[in-house]
Amino acid sequence: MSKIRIKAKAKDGVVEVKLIAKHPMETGLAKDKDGNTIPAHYIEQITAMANGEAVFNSDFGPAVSKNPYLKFFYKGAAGDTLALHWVDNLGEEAQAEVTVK
Amino acid sequence: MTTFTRFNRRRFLTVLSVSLAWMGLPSWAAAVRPEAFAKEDYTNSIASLFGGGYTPSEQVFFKAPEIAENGAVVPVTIRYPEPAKRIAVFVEANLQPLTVVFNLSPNSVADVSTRIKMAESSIVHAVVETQDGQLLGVGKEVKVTIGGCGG
Repeated sequence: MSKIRIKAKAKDGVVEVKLIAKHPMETGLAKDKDGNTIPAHYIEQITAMANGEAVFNSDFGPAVSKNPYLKFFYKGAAGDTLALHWVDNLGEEAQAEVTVK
Repeated sequence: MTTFTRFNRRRFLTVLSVSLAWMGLPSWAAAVRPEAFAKEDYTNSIASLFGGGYTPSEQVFFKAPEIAENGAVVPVTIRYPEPAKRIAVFVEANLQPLTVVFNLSPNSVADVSTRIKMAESSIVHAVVETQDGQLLGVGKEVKVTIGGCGG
């Protein structure tokens, strides 16, 4: 599974974007079986660009659910190249691109 | 040694250019991570992010379950009929109340959904910063049967 799954559909000049980013979103509060604290590991920001132009971004705290789900809308059209990128608190990154249907 | 330095320099430049491509965001996008995420008190957190509290408004549509069976996955949707600058969600009872900030662009529609974690039952606030800088919001109580932040 890719690190970001995206569905983007255009309707009446607006594109509906749904995405799921594969990420543990550890708060740093949970403990493992042996009682050791699991270090915080969470996405800090997701950015969306349509045809190279930033259209939306979101700052996450650790309390966004595991494998974050996001739905947003932007003014666009079928055929747009939509690129999504996330970066987490440990500096890991992932990006994915789709063509809007 | 020279090779090593060159490699690092090139690598640095590559990383820098990739980062700049993503950081080259227009003025509407917050380039710096809001300090409000670190605040452990709702009032301080909203003051840090927006400079103060919000005015309750029926124009803000906020959908969240009355009872969340699983605090690890609480779906929320926030909508506002006009274009907006930012939308934020605060969970009062969470250790860090600020949960998520959506930075909208002039091309965004003020309609966002995500799933959040709640440690326990709490008032959840959805706050919209309108284009003209007003802070409008809704607070809703969400009861949690099983908490979703600890282990």
